[in-house]
Amino acid sequence: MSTIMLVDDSATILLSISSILGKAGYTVEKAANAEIALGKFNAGVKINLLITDLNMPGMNGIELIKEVRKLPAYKFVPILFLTTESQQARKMEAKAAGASGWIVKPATADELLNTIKLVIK
Amino acid sequence: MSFKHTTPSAHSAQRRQFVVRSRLVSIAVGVPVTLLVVLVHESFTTLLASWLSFGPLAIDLVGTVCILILFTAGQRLLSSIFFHDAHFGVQERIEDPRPSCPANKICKRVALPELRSIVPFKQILIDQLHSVTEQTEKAAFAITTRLQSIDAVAIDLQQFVSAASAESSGSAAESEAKVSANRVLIKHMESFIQKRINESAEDAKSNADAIEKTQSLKSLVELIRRVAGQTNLLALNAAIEAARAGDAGRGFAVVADEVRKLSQETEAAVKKIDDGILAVTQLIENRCQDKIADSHIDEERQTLENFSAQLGTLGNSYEQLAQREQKILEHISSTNARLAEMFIETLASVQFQDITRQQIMQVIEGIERIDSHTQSVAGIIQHAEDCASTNPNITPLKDAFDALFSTYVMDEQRDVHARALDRTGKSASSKRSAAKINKIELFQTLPEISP
Repeated sequence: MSTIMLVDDSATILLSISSILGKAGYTVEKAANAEIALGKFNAGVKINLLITDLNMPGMNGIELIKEVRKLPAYKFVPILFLTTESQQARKMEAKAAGASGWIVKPATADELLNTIKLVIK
Repeated sequence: MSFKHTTPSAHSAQRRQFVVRSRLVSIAVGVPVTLLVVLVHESFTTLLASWLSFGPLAIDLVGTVCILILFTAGQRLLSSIFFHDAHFGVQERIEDPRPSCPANKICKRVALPELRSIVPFKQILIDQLHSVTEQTEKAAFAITTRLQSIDAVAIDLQQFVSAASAESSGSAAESEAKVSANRVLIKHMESFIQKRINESAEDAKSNADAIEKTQSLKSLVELIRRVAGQTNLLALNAAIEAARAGDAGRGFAVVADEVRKLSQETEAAVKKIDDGILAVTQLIENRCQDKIADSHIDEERQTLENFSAQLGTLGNSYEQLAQREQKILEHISSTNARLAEMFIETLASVQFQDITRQQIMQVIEGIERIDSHTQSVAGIIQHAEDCASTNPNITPLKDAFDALFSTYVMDEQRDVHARALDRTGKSASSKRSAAKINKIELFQTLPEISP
């Protein structure tokens, strides 16, 4: 089954979303901020999808995916944003940085899992 | 005369107050001054004309000046006595080259400490909000953890139900096999009983035949008995005839006697045969009766039928029980599946905490901005020499909140901000977010998957 990297500064979000993904059969790699996630990417963790928050202390989600896209191994990994933000300008910024999709919190489990199925090939 | 720092209505009230007070004071001073003029006019004129040789015009001029000085002094004296200043109690509000000095003193003495005291109280509010965030985060985390425990129980239950369901299906199949085996057994028993019935009937028939055939021997025995009787009678006659014949008939008499003895022996043998036939007949009849008594075929058949019916009922009951158990297990299983769905949705709804946390952080940011603005105002008051020389260089609070608006992380915050501004008349409809939020958006240019 696919492995998903989940990046969010909220411990509650990490726990709840990873439980949902785990029950759906995905293996979940968790990171409490962008820096930890980048550390895992640099260590060569293999993933099929990256789900990240936008607003986080330190590096934000868009900055994170810009860094991720620079790594050859993750150039084509699908990336979804899971965030409270819904401004079109921010979405376009994320799209330009290489994001595959955008989900506004709070999302239902169905919304989340169906979108994941669409982006993971 | 003009008034500063007043609204139009306050300005009008002050003007009326000033007019009323000035008229009252003018009357209060004018009446005694007029009386004084009347009383001292004669003496004053004589004094100036005789002592200082003033003409009538000079005397009138000096008198008028004195009256004006006296009137003005009287006005100021009365005003100071009754209204605590020389300008009918409105001096502070009269435009003055140095008007704000008392106000500045008040501001620095009263308003400034109050503004400075906002800092610790602001901190209380911020700490409270941080505490709310922390508490909700802990609670949400605990809820999520408990949900996982509940899920573990639900998984256990599901596994138990699956195992029980498989077992139940096995039992049902086993039960069906047993019922079938019982049916076969009952059929065997029925055919066995039928065979026994048939055998019994055949036995009865062959016994009857044997009895009949044995009985038929009796007529032969009777015939032999009659022949023996006749032979005995003939032998007796022959003996009589031999006796008549004398010596010639002596040998014949011996034969006749032997014949008579033979016939007597025959009769004795016939009697034995008759007894034997009777004994055989009775024996066959007795054995037949015993066999019939032993068989109880009907009872056996009835018992077997009852037994069969009981087995059938038992099998049906067992089958119903198994079906019921299967239904219960299916119900538990479907309920458990629904619980699992609810569990997942509840997990998803925990996202509210993250949203609340971010909203509270923005409220804290707003409070910080208000505090910063307040401290800027306090700084201006503290360093101001006077109002006239003060040229406040302060960023309007509106700018601070516009900056806060730009840091919002969700449309809900922007809407609340805009609605609040609308209510307070500071419309910001241009800042309203789009009416409908597109919750999920997949970008068309999805990165291609590497081969």
